[in-house]
Amino acid sequence: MTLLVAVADAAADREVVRSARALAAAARWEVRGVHVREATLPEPASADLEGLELTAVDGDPVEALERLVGGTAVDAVAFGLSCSCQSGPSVSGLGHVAEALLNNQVAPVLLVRPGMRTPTGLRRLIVPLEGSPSTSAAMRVADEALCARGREIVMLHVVTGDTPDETGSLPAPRIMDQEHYEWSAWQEEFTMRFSTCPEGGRHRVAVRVGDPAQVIAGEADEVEAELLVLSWSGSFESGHGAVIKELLSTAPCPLLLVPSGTG
Amino acid sequence: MPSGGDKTRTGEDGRARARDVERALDHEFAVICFCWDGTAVPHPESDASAVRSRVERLTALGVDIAVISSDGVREVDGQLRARPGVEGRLFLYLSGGSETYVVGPSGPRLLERRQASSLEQQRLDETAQALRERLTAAGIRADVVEDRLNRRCVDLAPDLTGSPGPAPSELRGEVDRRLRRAGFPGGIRECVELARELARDAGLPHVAISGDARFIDIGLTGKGDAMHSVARALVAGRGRRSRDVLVLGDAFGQSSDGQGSDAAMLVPELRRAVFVSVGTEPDGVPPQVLHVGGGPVTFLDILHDQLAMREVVAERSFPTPTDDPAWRFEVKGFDPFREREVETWLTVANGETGTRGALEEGSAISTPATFVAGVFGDGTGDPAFRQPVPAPDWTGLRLLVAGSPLTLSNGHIIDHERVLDLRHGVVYRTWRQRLRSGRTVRVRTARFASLADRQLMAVRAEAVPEDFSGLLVWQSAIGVTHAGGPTKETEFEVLEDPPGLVASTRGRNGGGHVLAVTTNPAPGSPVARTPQQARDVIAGRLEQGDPATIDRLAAIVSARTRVPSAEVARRALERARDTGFDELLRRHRAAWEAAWDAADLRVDGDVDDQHALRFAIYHMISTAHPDKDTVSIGARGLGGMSYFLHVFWDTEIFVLPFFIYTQPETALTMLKYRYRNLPGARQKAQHMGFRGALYPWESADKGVETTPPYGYGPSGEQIPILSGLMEHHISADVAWAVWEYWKATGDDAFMASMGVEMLLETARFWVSRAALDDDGRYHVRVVVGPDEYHEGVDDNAYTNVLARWNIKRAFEAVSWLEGFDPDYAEELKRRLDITATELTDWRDVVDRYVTGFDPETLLYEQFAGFYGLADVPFEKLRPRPMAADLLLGRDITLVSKVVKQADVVMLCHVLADEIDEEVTRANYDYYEPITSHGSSLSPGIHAAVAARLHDVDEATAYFKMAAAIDLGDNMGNAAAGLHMATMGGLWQAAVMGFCGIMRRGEALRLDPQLPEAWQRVRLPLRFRGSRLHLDIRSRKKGVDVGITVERVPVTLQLDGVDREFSPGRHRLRRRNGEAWQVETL
Repeated sequence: MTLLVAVADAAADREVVRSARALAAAARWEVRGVHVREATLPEPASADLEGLELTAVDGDPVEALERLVGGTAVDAVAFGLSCSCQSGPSVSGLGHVAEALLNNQVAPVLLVRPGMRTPTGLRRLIVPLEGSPSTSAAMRVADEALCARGREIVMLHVVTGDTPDETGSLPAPRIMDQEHYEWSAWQEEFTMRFSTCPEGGRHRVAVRVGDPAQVIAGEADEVEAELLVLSWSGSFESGHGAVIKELLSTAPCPLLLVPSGTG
Repeated sequence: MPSGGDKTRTGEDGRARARDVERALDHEFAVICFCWDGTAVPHPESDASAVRSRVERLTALGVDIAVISSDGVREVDGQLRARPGVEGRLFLYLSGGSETYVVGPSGPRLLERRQASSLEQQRLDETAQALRERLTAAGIRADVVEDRLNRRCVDLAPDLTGSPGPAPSELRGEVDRRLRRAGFPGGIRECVELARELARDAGLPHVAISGDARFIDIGLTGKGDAMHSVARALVAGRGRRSRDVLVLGDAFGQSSDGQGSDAAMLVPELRRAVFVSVGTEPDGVPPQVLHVGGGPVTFLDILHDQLAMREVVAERSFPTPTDDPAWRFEVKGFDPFREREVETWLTVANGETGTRGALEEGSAISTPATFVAGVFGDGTGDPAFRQPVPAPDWTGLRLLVAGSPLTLSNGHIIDHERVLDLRHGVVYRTWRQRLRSGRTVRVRTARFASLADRQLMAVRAEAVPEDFSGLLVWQSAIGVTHAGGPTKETEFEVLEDPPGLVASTRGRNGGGHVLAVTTNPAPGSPVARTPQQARDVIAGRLEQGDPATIDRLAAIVSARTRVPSAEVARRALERARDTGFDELLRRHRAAWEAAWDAADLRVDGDVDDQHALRFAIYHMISTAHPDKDTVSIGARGLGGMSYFLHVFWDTEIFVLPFFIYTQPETALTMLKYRYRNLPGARQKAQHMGFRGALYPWESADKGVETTPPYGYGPSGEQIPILSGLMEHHISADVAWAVWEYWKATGDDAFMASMGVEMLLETARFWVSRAALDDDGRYHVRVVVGPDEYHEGVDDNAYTNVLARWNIKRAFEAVSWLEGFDPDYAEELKRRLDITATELTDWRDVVDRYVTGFDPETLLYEQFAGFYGLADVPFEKLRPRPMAADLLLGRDITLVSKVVKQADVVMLCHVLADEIDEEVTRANYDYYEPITSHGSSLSPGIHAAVAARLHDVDEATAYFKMAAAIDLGDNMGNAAAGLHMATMGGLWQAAVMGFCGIMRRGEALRLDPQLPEAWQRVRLPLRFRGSRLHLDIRSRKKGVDVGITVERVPVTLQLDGVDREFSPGRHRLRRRNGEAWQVETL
C-alpha cells in the first residue's frame, strides 16, 4: 500500500507530512511525496519536510492528483487544508483542490488542517458509524490497516433519532425492554456486524446522543483521539457531507475519509 | 428368506417352492394383513417393539396395515403400541372380527363394533355350556370363558395354565391324548364338529367355530369377517387390487386339530392376494398359501423386506419443504450483516432444546449454539445471577472437496437459500458454490429438533459434485458452544455404539448436559465412515452427479444439578439410531401438524401479516414444553443467550393466553412452573419485609430473584437495575394468569390444588405491601410499573388496580374452594395460617386501595403526580418506536409525561372483563399519543386495544409495528433472541383485537373488526372444554362468522347477551353494525 502525500506549500503542509508518516507507519504503508505546483506557489524545500522527497507535478493540481490516484501505484492520498490550497471555486468552502479530490474520490484521503493534533503512535482512533452497511467502509479500512495490539479503535455511534432504512442497519436500539440485557447484546451485535478486526485489536463501542459533528469532535477531543476515520459518500451537493464539512473545520485531529464503496 | 417345507415335498420341490415364495414376496404390497398372536409375536407377553417400529415406518410410507386377532384392544394395542403419524393407515380387526379400530398418533379409535343381541348371547351361552357338559360327562374338565365380545371359548385344559405355558405342540398332544382317552377319537377336530352341531341346535347356524391346541372358539364373527372388512374398506374402498394384498398367518393348514383358524382368512374376494404362513403347519397348507415357516422371526423379516424396498426409493428423495408460500419463511442469499438475526429466526426448538440456525460449516460471523431450557449455573460467580448452561454444539459439518473446504467465501455463491418450513418445524438449506478451484458443488441440508422426542435432533446433509468426479469428505465435529455462559468444563469421549462422540458441559453450581452424536452415511450413499478422534469422517470418491449423503443424529440429556451419565445420552442416541432419520422426521412432522391443527391462525388477504402470525406461533410452540414444569418460556425464547432464558411477566401476560386458548395443557404446565416456585416467591416477599408471595422479576431454575442489581449502559458505564427491587406487579400478573386459565378452561382440579393457594399468597403480599396513609387510603409506594421510564413512583395504576383485583379474586377463589372441597379449603387455610380475622382485614384494605381513577374524566392517573409532570411535544416522540430515554435523556423522561409502553392501556387490556369500553377509550386517547413504544411489549397490546375500540386502521399500523420488531430490515433486535412477548402480543392483537374474541366471565365475547386487507380468518380455539373452529369473513357491510362447536356447548356473548351454542355448526351474520343474526345449521 502506498500513501501519496500531496504537498503544495512546504511551510503550511509540514503537519500533513507528519500525519501521513504516522498513519503510514501504523498501517505499514509506504509514503511518497508529490509537489502539486501551482504557478503562484514557491518551490518546497525538502529539508522542511523531514526528508520526504517530492516529485514535482506540473499543470493543474486537480488533474495531476486524479491522474496519480487513478493509477495503480497509489492507494491513499494525504492532503493539507492550508489556506494556500483554497484558491478556485468551491461549494464546500474547502478549496477547489480538496473538493475536487473528494468529489471524485476512489481511494482513502487523509485531510489535515493546520492546527490539528498531529498523530504520533496512533494509540487511539475513532470511527464514527451510523449503523448502516453502506457507511461501514471506514470501519473495514480501520480494521484492515490499523487494528493492532495496543491501539484502541472507538466505534462511535451518534444517536440522532434518524434511522437508516437500509437493510442490515443496526442503529441504537429503538426499543429497550431491559437495558442491562439490551445494551450488551446490541454492543456485541454492533461489533460483530461492523468490525472484522483480526485478533489483537481493542475495540470499544461508544454511544452518544446529539448533533453528529459536534459529538464526534467533542469525543475526539475528550479521549485525545489521533485520527478520525469516516466513510464518505463522495458529494457535498444537496446538503450531503455536512458532518464531514463541519469536522474539517472543528475536529481536533486529522480525518481519514474512506469512499463508501471501498474497504 | 427362510422357506418352510411341506411334509411331502422333495428337495427339488422345496427349492422350487422357495423360489415361488421369493417371487411372490418381491412385490410392494399396498395392504399387509396379519394375525397377531403366533404370527407377529410368539406370545402375549413378548416384546413387540420390533413389530411396532416396522408397522410405524410402513404406514409412514403409505402402506395400510391390518392386524387381526381374536383378542381385544387392550391386549393387542397394549402389546403393539404403534402410533402412526397419521390416522387411517393402521387398523385393528379385533375380537374375532367384531371390532374395528383405526390407530393414529394419539392411539386407537373405535370405528365399528358388532354387538350381539340378548338372544344371540343366550344361544352362545347354551352352545358353550352344552359342549362343556358333554366333555364333563366324558370325564374331561373344561371351563367356559365368557368375557369375550360376541364369543365363548371352551377351555379344554384349564389345569395347564401358566405363562408362557407349554409349547403349542406339547399342549396339543396332551389335549388330544386326553380327548381320545375320554372317547373323542378325533381329538380337537371332533370337538370342533361337536360344537358346530350344538350351535346349530341352539339356533346359530352361521357361527364361526375354530379350535386350536387348547380352546374351542365359538363366535358370532370370525377372522373371515375381518377379511371381508379389509377387502371392502382397504382394497375395494381405496381402489386397490387384491394382488396388492399380503396376508400373513401361522395356522392355515388342515390338521388333526381341525381346520386351521387362519384358513377363515381365505375369503373369495381376496383370492389373488398373497397368503403366507409362518407357522409350523405340520399337516401342510391349502394350495393358495405359501408356507415359509419360521414364526415371528420370519414375519419380521418379511416386513423388513417390504420396508427396505420402499425406503431405498424414499431415501433417494431428499426431504423438501412445503411448496405453500404461506408456510415458508425464506432467507435468500447471504447477508453477513444480518446473519445473526437469520440464525435466530431459523432456530429449531422443541421446548427442551433450541438450536440456532447457524451455517453448518461455520464462518467468522456465525454463532452456533444450542440452549437447553431450565438448566442454569452461576454466571459471574454470583449465585443470584443465574445463566443458562449452553450445551455442546452439535451442528458443525465441514465438507472438503478435493481437500479444499467448502465455505461461502471459497469462490463465489451461485445460489443460497434457507427455508424454515413453519408447518413442519424443519430448516432446509440449498446452496450451490463455485469454488476457487473451478469445481461446482451443490449442497442440501434438512435440520430439526424433534417435537415428537424432545431429546433428539437430526440433520441430513447431501453434497453433489455437479461438474467433476472426485473425493468428497464430510467432517462432523462437536465442540464447545459459541454462546458463552457459565460453562465450567467441557469433556469429550468417543462412543463405540452407536459409533460417535460424546461431549458434556457443566455449569458452575448448577446443571449440565451430555450430548451424544452419531454421523453415518445415509442408506444408498456411496460414502463410508471413518472414525477419528473428536470428529467423524465420512468420505467417498464420487462420480459427477452422485450425492454424498449423511445423517447426523444427536441426543442431549440434561440435569438441573449435575451432569447426567453418558450412558443416558448413549441410550437416547441409540433410540434415534434405531428409529432412523426418515422415521424421526416423519414423527416430528406429524407432531408439528398436530400442533398446528390446534393453533393455526389462517389469514387470507395479507401475506405479510399471515407470515408474521405463523412465525410467531411457530416460535411460541417450539419454545414451550407441554409437560415439564421445571421450565417456562424465557423472554427471548430458546434461540439466543440474551435475557439468559429468564422468565419475566412476558410469559404470563403476553404468551400464556395463546396457550390457554389453543393448548391449555401447555398453559397448565407453565402455571405449574409458577406454583412449583411459590417458595421462592415467599422467600422474596419475606426478605423484603412483606408477607405472602412476591414473584421474582426474573426467574430461572430456583424461583428466586435473579435480576442483577446493576448492568452496563450504552458505553459500558455501570447502571443500577431497579426492576428486581421495585417491579412488583409480576405477582398480580401471575395471579391474573391463574384466574384467566381457570375461567377459560374450567380446570377446577388445578384451581383447587394450586390456583387458590397462588391467589391467596399473592393477595396476602398485596395486603402487606400497601401502607395506610393519613388520608385513610392504602397506598403502594416506591414501585416501577410497566412504564419503566418512571422508577420509584407511588400508586402506579397498573400495579394497584391489578393488586386490588388480585385480592378480590382471592376472596372469590377461597369461597369457591369452600364449596368445591370444604375439607381441603380448611386444610389450605390452616396450612397458610389464614384466619377469618385476616380475611376481614383484607376486605378493609381492598375497599380503601388507591386506584388513581377519576370518575369525572374516566382516566386512571398512571401514578401519583403523573399529571404534574412536564409535557413533551408529540412530535418529539416520533418516529415510533423510539427509545425516548436515550434520545431525550433519562433526566427528561423521568420528569415528563412520556410513557415507555402500554401501562394504563395495558391495564385496560388485561382487565377488559371489568374495565368498560368508555373508560378504555378515554385512557387510550390520553396515553396513546405520549407513549414512545420503547418496549417490544407495547405495540401488540395497542393494536389489540385499538381494534377493540374499532380504530382498525390504527390497530393495523400497530400490528405491523409489532411484526417488525423481530423481522424488520433495520431493527437488528433478533440477533440474540426473539421477542416472545411481542409474538404473544401479535396473537392477542389478531384474536382478541381483530377477531374480537375475549373472555367475558365464562363466555366468549365476539366482535370482529378485521383490517381492511384481511378477507377471512380461520382459527381453532379451546374454551371451557369445548373445541371451536371459527371462520370469520369480512363482507362489504359487515361480517359473517361460521362456528363449529365440538364436544360440549359453549357460551358466546353477542351484543352483550350470553347465548349458548350446542355442538354443531352455526352461522352468524352482522350487517351495518346491527345485531347479530344467528342460524344453526
